[in-house]
Amino acid sequence: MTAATIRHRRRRARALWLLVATEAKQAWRLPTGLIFGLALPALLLVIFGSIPALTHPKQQFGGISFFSLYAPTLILLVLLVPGLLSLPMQLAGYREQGVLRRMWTTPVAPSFLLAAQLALNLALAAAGIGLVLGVGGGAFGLVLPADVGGFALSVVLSAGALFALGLCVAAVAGTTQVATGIGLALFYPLAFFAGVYFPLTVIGSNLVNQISEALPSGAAFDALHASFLGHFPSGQALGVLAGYTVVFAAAAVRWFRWDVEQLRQRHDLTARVATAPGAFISRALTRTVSVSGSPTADEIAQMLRGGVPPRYEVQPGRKMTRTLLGDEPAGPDYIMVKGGLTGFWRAEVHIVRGTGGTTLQVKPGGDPVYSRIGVARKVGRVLQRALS
Amino acid sequence: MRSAAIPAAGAPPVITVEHLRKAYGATVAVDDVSFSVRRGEIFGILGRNGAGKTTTVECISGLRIPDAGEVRVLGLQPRQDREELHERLGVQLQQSALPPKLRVGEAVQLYASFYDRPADTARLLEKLGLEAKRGSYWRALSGGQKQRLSIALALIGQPEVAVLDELTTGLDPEARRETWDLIAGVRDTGVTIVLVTHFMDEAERLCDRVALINEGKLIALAEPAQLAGQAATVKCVRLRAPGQQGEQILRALPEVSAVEHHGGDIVVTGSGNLVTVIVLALDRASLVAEDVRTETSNLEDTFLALTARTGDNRAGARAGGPAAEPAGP
Repeated sequence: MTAATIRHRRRRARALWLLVATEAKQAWRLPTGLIFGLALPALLLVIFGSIPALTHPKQQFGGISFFSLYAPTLILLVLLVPGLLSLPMQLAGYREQGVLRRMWTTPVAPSFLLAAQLALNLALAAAGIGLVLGVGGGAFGLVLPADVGGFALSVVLSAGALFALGLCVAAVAGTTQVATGIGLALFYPLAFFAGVYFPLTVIGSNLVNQISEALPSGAAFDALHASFLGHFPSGQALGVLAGYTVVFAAAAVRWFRWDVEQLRQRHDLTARVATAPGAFISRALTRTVSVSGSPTADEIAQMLRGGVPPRYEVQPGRKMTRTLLGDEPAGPDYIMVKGGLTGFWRAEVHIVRGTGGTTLQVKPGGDPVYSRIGVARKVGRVLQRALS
Repeated sequence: MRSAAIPAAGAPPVITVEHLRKAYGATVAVDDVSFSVRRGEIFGILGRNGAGKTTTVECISGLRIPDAGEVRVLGLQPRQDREELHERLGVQLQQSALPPKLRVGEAVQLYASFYDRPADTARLLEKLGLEAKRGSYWRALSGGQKQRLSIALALIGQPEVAVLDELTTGLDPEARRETWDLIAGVRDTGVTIVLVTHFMDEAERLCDRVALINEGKLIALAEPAQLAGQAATVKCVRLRAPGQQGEQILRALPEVSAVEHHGGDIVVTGSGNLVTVIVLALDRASLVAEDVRTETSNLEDTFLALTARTGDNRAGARAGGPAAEPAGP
């Protein structure tokens, strides 16, 4: 190896280190990920560890306490938040803002930024696991994993499966909002099978157990639980986790694009399939307001601006798309109302001018169920009051 | 501001683009575009929004894979030689933000670490008037400051060539002028610049040569003055409307191609020694030509004339299509 090559490699290593440090600073300045990734499990740990009834062994939990049964769940929560939420939200956001595009135009590939994000979130997860074991074991009498090797292997494979799934989300999601949506849609059921809401053993259903064993969070729970009890995790659980890691990682590598435009072209179909259920619910929750006369889109937009709270943004000429790429410019008969801090909850007003008079269709989007009772309801009311 | 010393056309070009073609689905964004950029010049790529300018520079930067054609930058292939190319080519792309809570100083230091021979960050910030903003977050910067930081990041690797896309869009007139001075200053340090713009005044003021792109096709390639001269063969004369009779006389003249009303004036387009012809013709009918002004053509006229012409041809071809078909027996 020549001296120049060594210098070059040192510079690249320094660039990667600087990227990780910069990303860490960003995470500290906008600490949503830190709060949900570390503070939430810490809080649960303190609450459950302080209630005496939960720390006594129980027959229904196989002779261990609820608190001990919940330990693998806490560890999974520490992996789920950075893996399925923080990582894809950050990466999709960087692509949306053009940060990855800019990286592409430097000698350092955008994969450096991806690696830095991955490293940062893995470090966060590791810190969380350390926190759960350290504080739990030290202050609340949590029984630490008896099979250390099995525990380490389970943690590595669980992190692999969940972070690879997160990278898949980052690969297909065109915007931070969409990444948040898909991330949450995966998070809730996976958290259920990790036992976040209640231990799955209380259901005692064979079917639920079989589904759980086949899912990444269920298999991860089984593997971690076994290592806490002092058994080496079952080959089946480890196999499922390793399988998910390989499949999701391969899919993420195959699908990932640095640029929104490229994503738009390649994944339109994927995006449509993935958003089809949401689009269906959205259509089902659409409400109609009939109007006398024939107001223009601008008049209606003006009405909405005056009627809805100022945190809502009214954008005439835009509509929601079924793709994962957020909203798009549309004809003059569409108005988009975005709500909240993230703009994730939204409603679309479509002006339909028929022979029998004009009607307004108010369609909830983002998370359509929540938007239906939130932004879409407010929009519907304002229109109802102003026009009927 | 334009430097008189444009290197000889014989020197090897810094960028060559040959028969470049790129389509997105059914939309052809760039269609058979060829040009080359000489060392040390400011080369303008000019066109309306959606004409295919950005796609062209994205192919040059290696961000897009062309469907057909060859692109060479400093003798390198943009995709295969990505790493080496970007040590020597600085790019400032449209719609490239930075993380909202990244400080100016941190951004410059971070991007400097990506290059083998980075510029002195303190001096670069000073040159771009950003030294006072070192500690500011990206999201707290004004439009002009963000643009200047983007330029700083494109120049931080001390590139031989810099691609700057839609540099002054959204800036106020003063910030635009400052940016222009800055670009001219960068060129004077020996950097070849490819400037993408849809502003004619910007191209006229800064560029040594301009490629005019319309609907994905290269329709003109020349020095701005030459290009402006192309429209000079068609002249415009503006004068106070001479009344019905006078207009008829003017329309009948062989030199005149069109007479249009603009408020109380008429604009006469045609060729030849238009002013003399008009004044003499009106005088013969005992009419006076009042407020006669010739309108010199600039790059903007050329741009409008050339892009409108290609548009008209298409419309004409479409409208003429059925009529041109031979009548049935």
